[in-house]
Amino acid sequence: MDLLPPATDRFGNVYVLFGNRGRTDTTVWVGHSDGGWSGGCSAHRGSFGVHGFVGRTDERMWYWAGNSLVEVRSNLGSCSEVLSTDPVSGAEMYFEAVVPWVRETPTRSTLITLIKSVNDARPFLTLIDIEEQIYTEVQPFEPSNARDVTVVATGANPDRFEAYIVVTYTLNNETVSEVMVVDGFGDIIDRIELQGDPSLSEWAVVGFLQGADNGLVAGILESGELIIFNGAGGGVTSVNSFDAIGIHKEDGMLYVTGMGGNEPVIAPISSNGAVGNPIIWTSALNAGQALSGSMPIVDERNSPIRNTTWSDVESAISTWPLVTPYPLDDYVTGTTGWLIAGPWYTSVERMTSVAFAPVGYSVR
Amino acid sequence: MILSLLSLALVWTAPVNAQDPVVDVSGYVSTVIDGRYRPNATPEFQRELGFRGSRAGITFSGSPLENWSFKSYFYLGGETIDVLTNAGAVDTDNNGSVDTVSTDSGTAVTNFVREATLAWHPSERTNLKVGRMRIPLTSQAQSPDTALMFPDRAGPNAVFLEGTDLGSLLSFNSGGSRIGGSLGLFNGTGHGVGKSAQRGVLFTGRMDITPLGAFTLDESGPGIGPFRWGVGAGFVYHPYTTYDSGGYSAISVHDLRGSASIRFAGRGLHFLAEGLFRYEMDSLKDRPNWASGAFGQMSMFLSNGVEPSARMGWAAEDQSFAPRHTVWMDGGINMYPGFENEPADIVKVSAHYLGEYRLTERDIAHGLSVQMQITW
Repeated sequence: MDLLPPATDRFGNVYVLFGNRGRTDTTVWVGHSDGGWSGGCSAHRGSFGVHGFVGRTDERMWYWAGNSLVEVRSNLGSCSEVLSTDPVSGAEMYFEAVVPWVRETPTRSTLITLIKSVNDARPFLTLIDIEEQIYTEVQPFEPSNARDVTVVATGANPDRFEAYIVVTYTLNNETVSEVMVVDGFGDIIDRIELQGDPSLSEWAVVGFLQGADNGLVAGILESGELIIFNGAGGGVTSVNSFDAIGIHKEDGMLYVTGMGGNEPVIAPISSNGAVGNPIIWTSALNAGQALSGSMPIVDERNSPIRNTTWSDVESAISTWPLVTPYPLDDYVTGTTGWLIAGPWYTSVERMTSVAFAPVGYSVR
Repeated sequence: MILSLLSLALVWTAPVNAQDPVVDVSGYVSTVIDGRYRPNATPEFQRELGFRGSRAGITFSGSPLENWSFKSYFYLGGETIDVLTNAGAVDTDNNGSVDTVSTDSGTAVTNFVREATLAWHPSERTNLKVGRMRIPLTSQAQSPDTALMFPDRAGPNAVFLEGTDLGSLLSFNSGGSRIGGSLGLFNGTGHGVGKSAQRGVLFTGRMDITPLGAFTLDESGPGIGPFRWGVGAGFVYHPYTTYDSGGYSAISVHDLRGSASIRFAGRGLHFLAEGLFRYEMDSLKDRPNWASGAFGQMSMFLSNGVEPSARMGWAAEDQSFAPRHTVWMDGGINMYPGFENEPADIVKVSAHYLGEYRLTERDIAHGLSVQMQITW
């Protein structure tokens, strides 16, 4: 099914996003922490599909889809675009990049973005106050004579107080690929030039970049290749020993996950960016076996809550749980949320019931 | 409003005292000028200066019958909350659809009644108190508001403790008050039963051991008595069930909090260190949520009536999935202009630096508080 791995806010509300990189009918549901689900809300703008969840606070979640940034409120299950137009000029605003990191402070919660209007030749690096829906610390993209600025990927490592935006642009008839490293206040603290293939396309990285404690950052391209860099540089590399699907972060280290034949595998990324030998990822294997067949379900879609059993359940997101290009949500440390598909019926299209299940993981 | 209340109290109590001293009236007025600087906040909150922490309290207590007593403690402070007073749908472009909601709000004072209790003393060693009161989870929660070392209780306390609640508390002591404890039952909501969609009973217990003899819970002041030390621990267990709007059971929640403390006092020294822990789990989410924290504080009353003090605290919230760490560092002095009189702490003037460092969010706040307090 076209579902992303679910995300949760601090109060335990569950957010389920329906969509993929190719479709524009993105819809979000909210499973309320005290029981019950919202009916679904659609918000999307642009021809590209969904990028993913970009952050949460106590009772709210934000996702980035196409050129839109969407806020989801858990109490109503409602969704609405953030800053779809410039508050002053009324011009339509396009979110070219949204960093998946909501920084919560006592007075404001902020997101780092690259935005532009239809009239702008270059995007602007902005810090958005997502509570008040205003943008501050606006900086035009530099160099000023850059053309065709294209966003390849975004990512963040809050533990290092760093956000990453990978861009390509044309400068003096040459294509430049580089990483803008931005701190949590929205200020550029470094720019890293990437070597190798300069033909990275727009939003080529599936999901988001993830950062290790040692400063290494990695993401996975649609082609299955990896983009890896640190403060000294980096570029695109390929994985030959298995089909790379996602990047997994655990205990501050990065791993490549994927499929080795019919089994889920995982391989460490060393501090120099080299991908180690894959091993069978037993967490995904065990989760796949556990989340199949008959499953006890707490059905709280309507009051009163009922305990029931679904037969023939299976992973609703990918063949094997945990193997995904999208970062796993920390439902509990060492445990993420996953979706399982249950009973279905067909009317105009196939309608399938989906349930949320916590899944533990470990690279060992 | 404060002056009106005080005047009312004096008028009311005067005739009573003239005939029979059944009602004891005491209170305090505390004026606090505080400033706060948050360099990374929005401009509105970067620099704040005002009398926000000013407060006054008045207590009526007495023992109208042998073995029976009462206490009412009213509190007036600058702590207010915004309340919605009016809301209406607005069609801004007159196209027939609702575009926004217009709201009006006002401010309301919170926690007006800090304590309203009746107590029965069947023996010198036992005491049953019923009514609204502060839950004695920690040592600091039991300290009088007027005898705190700093203008407010430690930061971690605010993370783990809520306000007052309705319930009953059985207190007991033995060994010449060297061992003291309490067991309590509370509503757990801060409201009367039926005012909330959750039902359950909050159980609380605390034990304090002071091997050299009981001593005051005051955190500051001359403390000229002999040296004393004590250890203690407390818990709050609140199992409850929430109900949906239809009145059906939604989820069962187990909320457990604990604390342990060690303290010293005597010869002008006051020291207190406490550790706190919270664990919460419910039947639906299957997501344990825990938090922990600790703080330590110390002051030394000098012969010239000046008392330097220092405090450090730490708390980690949401530790089970997305930890948020906060460190507090406070320091300053308390001065007692009338320290040569008895009691020595009727007038207290304090100046403190209050620092809050949110490590996870890399946010910082510097505060300065100057307090003048008169108790009567």
